[in-house]
Amino acid sequence: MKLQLPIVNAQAPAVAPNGRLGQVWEELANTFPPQYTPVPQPDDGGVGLKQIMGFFTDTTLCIGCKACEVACKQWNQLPADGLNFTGNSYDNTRQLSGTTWRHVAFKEKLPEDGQGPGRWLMLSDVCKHCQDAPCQHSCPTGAIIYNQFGDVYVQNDICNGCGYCISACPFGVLGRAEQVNGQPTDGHAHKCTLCMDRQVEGMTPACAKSCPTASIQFGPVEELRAAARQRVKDLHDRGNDRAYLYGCDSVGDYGPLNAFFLLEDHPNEYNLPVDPPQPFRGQGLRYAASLAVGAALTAIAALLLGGGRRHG
Amino acid sequence: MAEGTRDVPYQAEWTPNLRHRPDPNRVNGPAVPARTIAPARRPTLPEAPYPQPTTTSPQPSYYDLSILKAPVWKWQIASYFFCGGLSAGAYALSRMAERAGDEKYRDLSRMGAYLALAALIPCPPLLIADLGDPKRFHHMLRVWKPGTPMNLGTWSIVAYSGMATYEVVRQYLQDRSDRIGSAQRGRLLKLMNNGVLLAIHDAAGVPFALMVAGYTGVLLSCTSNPLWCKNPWLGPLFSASALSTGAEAISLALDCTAEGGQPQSPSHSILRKVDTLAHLTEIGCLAGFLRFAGDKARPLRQGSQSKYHHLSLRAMIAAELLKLVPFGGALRKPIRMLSSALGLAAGFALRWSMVHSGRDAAEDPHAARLVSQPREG
Repeated sequence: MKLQLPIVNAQAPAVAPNGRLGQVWEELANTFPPQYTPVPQPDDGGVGLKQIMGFFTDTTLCIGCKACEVACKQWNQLPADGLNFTGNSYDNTRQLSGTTWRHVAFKEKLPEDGQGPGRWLMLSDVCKHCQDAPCQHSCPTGAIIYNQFGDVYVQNDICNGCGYCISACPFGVLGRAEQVNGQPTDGHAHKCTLCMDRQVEGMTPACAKSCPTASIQFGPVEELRAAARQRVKDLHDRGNDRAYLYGCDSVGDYGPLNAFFLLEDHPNEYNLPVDPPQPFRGQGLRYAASLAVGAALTAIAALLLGGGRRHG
Repeated sequence: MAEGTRDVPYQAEWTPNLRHRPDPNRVNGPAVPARTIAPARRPTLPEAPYPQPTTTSPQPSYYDLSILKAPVWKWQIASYFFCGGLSAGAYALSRMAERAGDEKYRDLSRMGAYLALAALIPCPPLLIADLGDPKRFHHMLRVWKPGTPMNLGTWSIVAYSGMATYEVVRQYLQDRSDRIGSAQRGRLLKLMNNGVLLAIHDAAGVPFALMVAGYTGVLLSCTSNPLWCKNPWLGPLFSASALSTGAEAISLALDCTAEGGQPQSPSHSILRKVDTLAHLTEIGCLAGFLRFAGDKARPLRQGSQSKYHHLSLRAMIAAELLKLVPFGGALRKPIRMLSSALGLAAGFALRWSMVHSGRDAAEDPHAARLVSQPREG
């Protein structure tokens, strides 16, 4: 039995290209369509794609304890980032990086008029494990793959540290540390593995396991999405009109993310992009433009040289 | 080490726990053929439930930190872009001189072939030096993945370096043809000059050269970096710059060597015209680039790299102006050399500013927000 891979954004309406020129344009733009690297199948000797697993992070439940950040560092043996004081509320790690795969964003939101109580925005950020992920597209060594849980995984014995994925990611997730604690690192790109090593043993990822308020929920993404929609509905019923889902259905150029969030404010307040681009769309056209200009200039050079032969 | 402290093993060398353990679930090689999925159409955005920022309210942001990570590419990559482009441009011009031109452009085709290989030789060390893990540079060559410009470019440059080497060997044998002692060398030259072989060589070599010239721009445009993201002008810009730097390098090399000693080689006037045309294309592409990037190009125009950006433009204009001034006699050659050198400097400054200001752009929180602002369509 062949498992069907999820088609990104299957419900999105197809726009009919206008006319013959439109068709050529479309074909050029999609010269290199998004591609999954080989995903294991159920009959590949027991490592088949079982179910797509993911995270649902509910910021309304987050208390900012950073247990997830610590658990992630401990399980994955990630080094400390140093004792830095940023002055940004209780957040001293600033961002996700090659050595921080869970990052708790802290923000104290005070009312604009200065009246009444303020509120906390807290979000445990993580790799979004996009379907159609730009890091996976960009990886020139094939080190970044979709694993049997449908998540984006960097195979560090293949990674050669080129850093393309770091520039490709529109969420700023991947990192390549030059130095950690004054020591040179292995020079590879690193990010959340969604605890693949725990998952193969049937265990919950370290961050979700350690979360004391069930702000981080782990499970089959389809179940998580249903639960998340119900949660938003419940919150709306209770009068919290601000709650909405980020990345549950689609965000920017992307279809559903495998790690999605329930937010209460503008995405930029949590350092999430509003409408992240998929930079690999339309690369065929850009190749065509680049080769056309090169070929045109070369052809003109040939004409000039040939003209010399006739008249000279 | 102070009394009572313990040596933490991972401080010596950072090894994530997945590194040394053979992973039983490693997906390796083409066990299952890659499958293609239909590219997603842009979905219609639902009404955002959060308050939309207005011009009067402060921009929502997270402590004004950038969303994006800065690219890790440094001077090695900028230099590689320059050398690779120069090599490809010189190669294409050299082949055209032999194919379309006649014996009086022999100096052009000869010098172009030698320069193409000379500029190509530093490329692999530069690329390997840039990798975080230089031991594993060959991992690029373990897969064929044309969907990523870096992999396609690596394969192109491998193929192209073969063509460039062939060309240099052929030129060398031809240069020494009057003095060839051994019969084997003569036979080799005859084989290499075989019409069919040469036709195949050019049919593959010139497209590969154009690929090497332009893929670097496409590579940059396939990132989420505010400055480069999806910019269709980057590839053409780098292609045109490759042709212009190639022409300038050949012209300069001809002037520096004995053959160029004659003040007016016919090759010079051709190179001059090609160079001017390429410069005009470059300026057009740069204008298109800046227009497309809009506010996101501010790190290039006003950031730490702005001096190189402006240097590139000024050097290009100065090189063109020098060509227009009718110098005669003894001044003619030095002025031509100066113009070529200025053009080469412009090409280098262009790559340098473009690669390095990517870092500024990614670290600029405003630019990083702009690249992921909702767009129409």
